[in-house]
Amino acid sequence: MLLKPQIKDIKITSFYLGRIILGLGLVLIIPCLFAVLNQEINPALDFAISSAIALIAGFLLITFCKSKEELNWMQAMGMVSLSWIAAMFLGAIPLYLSGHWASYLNACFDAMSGFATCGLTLVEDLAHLSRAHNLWRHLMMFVGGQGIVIIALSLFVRSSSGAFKIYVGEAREEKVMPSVISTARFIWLVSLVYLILGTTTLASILTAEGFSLKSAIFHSSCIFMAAFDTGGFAPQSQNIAYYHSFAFEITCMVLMILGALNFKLHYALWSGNRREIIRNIETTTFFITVMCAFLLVVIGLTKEGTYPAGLMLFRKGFFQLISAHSGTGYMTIFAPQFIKEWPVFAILGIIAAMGLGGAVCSTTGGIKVLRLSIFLKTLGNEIKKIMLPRSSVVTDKLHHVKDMVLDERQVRMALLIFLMYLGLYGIGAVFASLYGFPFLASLFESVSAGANVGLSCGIINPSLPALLKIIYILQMWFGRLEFIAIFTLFGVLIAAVKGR
Amino acid sequence: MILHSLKKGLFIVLRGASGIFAEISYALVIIILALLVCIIFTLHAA
Amino acid sequence: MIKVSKCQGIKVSKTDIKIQDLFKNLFFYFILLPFAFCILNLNCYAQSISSTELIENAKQYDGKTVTYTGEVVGEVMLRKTGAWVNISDEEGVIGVWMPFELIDEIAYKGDYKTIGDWIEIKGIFHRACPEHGGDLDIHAQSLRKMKSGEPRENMIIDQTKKKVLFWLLGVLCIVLILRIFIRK
Repeated sequence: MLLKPQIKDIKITSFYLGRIILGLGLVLIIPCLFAVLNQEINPALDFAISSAIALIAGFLLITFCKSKEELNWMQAMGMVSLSWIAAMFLGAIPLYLSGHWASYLNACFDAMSGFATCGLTLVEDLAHLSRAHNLWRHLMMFVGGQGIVIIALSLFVRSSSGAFKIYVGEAREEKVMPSVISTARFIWLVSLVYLILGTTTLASILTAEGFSLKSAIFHSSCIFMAAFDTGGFAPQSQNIAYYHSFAFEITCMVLMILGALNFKLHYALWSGNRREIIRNIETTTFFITVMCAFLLVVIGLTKEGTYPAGLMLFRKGFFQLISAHSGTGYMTIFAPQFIKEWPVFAILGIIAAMGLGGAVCSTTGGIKVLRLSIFLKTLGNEIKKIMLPRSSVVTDKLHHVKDMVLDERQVRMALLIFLMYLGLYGIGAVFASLYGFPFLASLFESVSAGANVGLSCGIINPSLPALLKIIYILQMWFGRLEFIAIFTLFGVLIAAVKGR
Repeated sequence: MILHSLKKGLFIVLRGASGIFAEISYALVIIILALLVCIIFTLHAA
Repeated sequence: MIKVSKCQGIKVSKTDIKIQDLFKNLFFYFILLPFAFCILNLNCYAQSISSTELIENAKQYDGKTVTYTGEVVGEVMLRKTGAWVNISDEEGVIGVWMPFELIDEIAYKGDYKTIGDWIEIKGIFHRACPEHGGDLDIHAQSLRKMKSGEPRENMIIDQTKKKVLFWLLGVLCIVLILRIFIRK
């Protein structure tokens, strides 16, 4: 029996949503100040307007929906889903005001792509976009990668009981530290440490490669935010190919792999448990899947002779592969080259890598390697149970920071999410095919959107039909929140109509 | 309060230096192995 | 009047001579000249090719001399043996590798505040450049500046946005005052 949501539920949800929107309003001040410092006055006005709108909306919600109650699961899931939609609409305002997005829908596409750390883009004339707007594009990835809710948890939430529910709603099931709030703060600390290390390294490389210091710092910080948060936006339209630098590409690869690691693993390693890097099921699975997918890519490309030299194969083949597997979406080739020059075998390797993704509780998207390992472990154990005597006991166990026994619920959830991702990829591919795009290209683009990767083979461009843009936006949203929070929201809406 | 948080953060980072080194090494191992695979395949194709 | 000329004992009329000249001209202009043009241009594309055309048909243009026209955007990246210049033709952007002598002509580089120089370059196109790790690029051999760049006109403050911002700040103040009253 479905229970209709009460006014109280709407009030509590709106109150916490208001806090998230307030947080976003404050974050929008950063590019505004940057624009003023850079003497980009019109962009400063764009961000000031957007910030004002967000602050007005946020204050209105928290004033008229004030509540001291904690969130229950339904309210938390609903709030998380709605906060991503609100972030998309608010984040799109400065983009649309810049004039570089043909419509507000295109701006919403890029905003959702930014917050979901996808990387697919509909921007026009990126070379002439202001630095402030470019910073905002990358800042959305930094914020979205950490988790919009994480910001709220770090800054606005004092008690932890409701905090855990909204943390889980944002597709983070694992607590890194005993308290969710300290988990959120640890995640920020890791990101800030790597921000300093990563930006310094990238800026040094760019300065050596002919950039001015100011430009090097700007480009490096943008590229870091998008690489570590496995986003994929870049300040120029050629993406990473713009820099023509091997050292820069290697550094980006390191950052992409680091971004694909579980924050729980970061905590274990930073606490002194260095052996965890080789014992952890996710790192070993990630290593194996990267190598297997890369073998597919290498065999395909070598057979076709697309990149005849070893270094070419590495800089084009492996870079695209690690970008796909980590869910970043950085490219050192042009989008049409995937379909025009890469053989089908190699493209399938990229699609498989994109679909799998990195670790859970990381900034990456996709099915996640932990779920793949659970699936394979469970399959292996079922076969063992058949082959061994009836009386023997087979325990499903794996090592993930600590040794854990797999229970039925965990296996069921892992397989359910696995199947839902496969369904998401399929639905997107079918819709694009209906518009006349070849199936392989449609599947490529759909997996890229659903797994929040951002690699493109050329289908996604500003002239895409509006319905397809909406489909891809929904795919990015579903993929980022891993379904449960969004289905809960739909459940609430259905209950509002049909419930008692 | 802010100073206390900064001190705490710095302590975690210093303690975590070996962990940072381990993570970066893991990434570099994958990259080097991939480079070797590329070289082997290209030589084999030649 | 029919002129008669003696040529190896064959009598030829003036009309015949005119027809012969006509056929000679036709042969020259419609067969010989285009043929020569095609032979000379087998490896050379004199008309500017768009970035989309180059990228989508990279295999066809690989190793050939092409003409590419566009605006200089982003940074000019000086390296040890040359420089990278990125050129945008509004459809796409391609990286061009240039010797140092050619980059002296570039004064304006396109960004938010500037429209870059519009240049035409002729050079060898590579689908996967062996010298530059497989990059799709053009190695420029000659450069011609077609139009000089200039500062952009968007430096003028948008008055409509200014007005909207003032109104919004007013609303924000009202909301904050309302909040204080409701709290009390």
